Amino acid sequence: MAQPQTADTETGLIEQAQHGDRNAYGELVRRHYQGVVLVVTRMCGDAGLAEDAAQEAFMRAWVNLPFFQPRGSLRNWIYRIAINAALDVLRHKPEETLEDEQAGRMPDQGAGPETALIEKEQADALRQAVKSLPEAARAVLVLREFGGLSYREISGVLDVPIGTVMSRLNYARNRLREVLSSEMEIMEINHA
Amino acid sequence: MHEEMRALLNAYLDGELQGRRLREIEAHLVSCAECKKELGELRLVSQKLQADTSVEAPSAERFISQLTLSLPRRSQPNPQPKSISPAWWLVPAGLLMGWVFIQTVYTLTDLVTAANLTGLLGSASGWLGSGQESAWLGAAATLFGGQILAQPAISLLNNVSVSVSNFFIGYIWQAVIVLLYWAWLGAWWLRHNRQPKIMENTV
Repeated sequence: MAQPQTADTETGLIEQAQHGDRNAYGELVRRHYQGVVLVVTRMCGDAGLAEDAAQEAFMRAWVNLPFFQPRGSLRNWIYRIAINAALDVLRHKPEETLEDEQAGRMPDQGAGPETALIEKEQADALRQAVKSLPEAARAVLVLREFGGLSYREISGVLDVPIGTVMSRLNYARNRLREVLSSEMEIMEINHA
Repeated sequence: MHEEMRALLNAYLDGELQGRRLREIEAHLVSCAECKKELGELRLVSQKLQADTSVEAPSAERFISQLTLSLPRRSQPNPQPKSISPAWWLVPAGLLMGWVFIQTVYTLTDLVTAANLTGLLGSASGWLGSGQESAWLGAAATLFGGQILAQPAISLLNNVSVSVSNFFIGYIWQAVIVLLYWAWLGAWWLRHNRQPKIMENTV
């Protein structure tokens, strides 16, 4: 049976999901899954916690979807829910889940072994540095780098002024820059 | 100037600057090697972060099938906010008009009473009739006889008493209007907050 024309558009899907259509909601989840998973993974710094956060985020989005105003951006709305879900999951995490998720990650096999090792070490160091950032700065950085949101959108999602977005991003990137610089220095020393 | 420009490096990197700011930082970057180096490092950080998209997560299909099975039922399928009737907005306007009316009546009454007290009305004061009497004046007339009403001091005291009484009654009316306005504001607030805000931190 042919679906109504609006079913293909996000607005149509939102409207159907607001009326309780789980299939329409499933399609919306499919469209935003990758982005949300990336954002919560970088917020949590742990794959298990990130999966819980993503589940919680899409559950909350379903419950609150009837109140969503379609004139707003669904992506930004879901990102906000995802950031809050990730923070809640982190606050309630049991201590034993504090494992280093990077421990078993394999380097890119396409690059040479030495380059791949260096890249892996840099990526690990950056991930750890992202994880160690204060929540407020991490949320801004994650939304910018992994969510691809503009400063104005981040300001709306986190409900903070654009100036605050800029200062938090400055702080976060400068911390990461220092980490990356020291990683490079260590590698140069080891290489020499 | 250097620190000011340095604080804008990230915004420049993210393409968030426009107009004068953009031209200023572009000009600064031509002459400042330190900022140029820092911009390169920030760009490298951003590139390395964005290149790292690997995540250990279940496939979208598996996630969705698990999620849709565990989605809770909604009590209200589509509680879209009802449009507010125009009459709702007439309430504060009506209260304002009522307040203006009461203020006008009492101000005019006070002016006329004051003019009458000072004799400015002259013979026209007869048009006002015998005027108002305070409750205490009636009691005094009963106790000491009607001739007490002819005393100018007693008459003045009565007029002052009536003015003060009117003044306070005016305040009571205003207080009633303010209370009604607060009640309307409270009802509006409740109605507004019954619909959860989509961008609440608690979501």
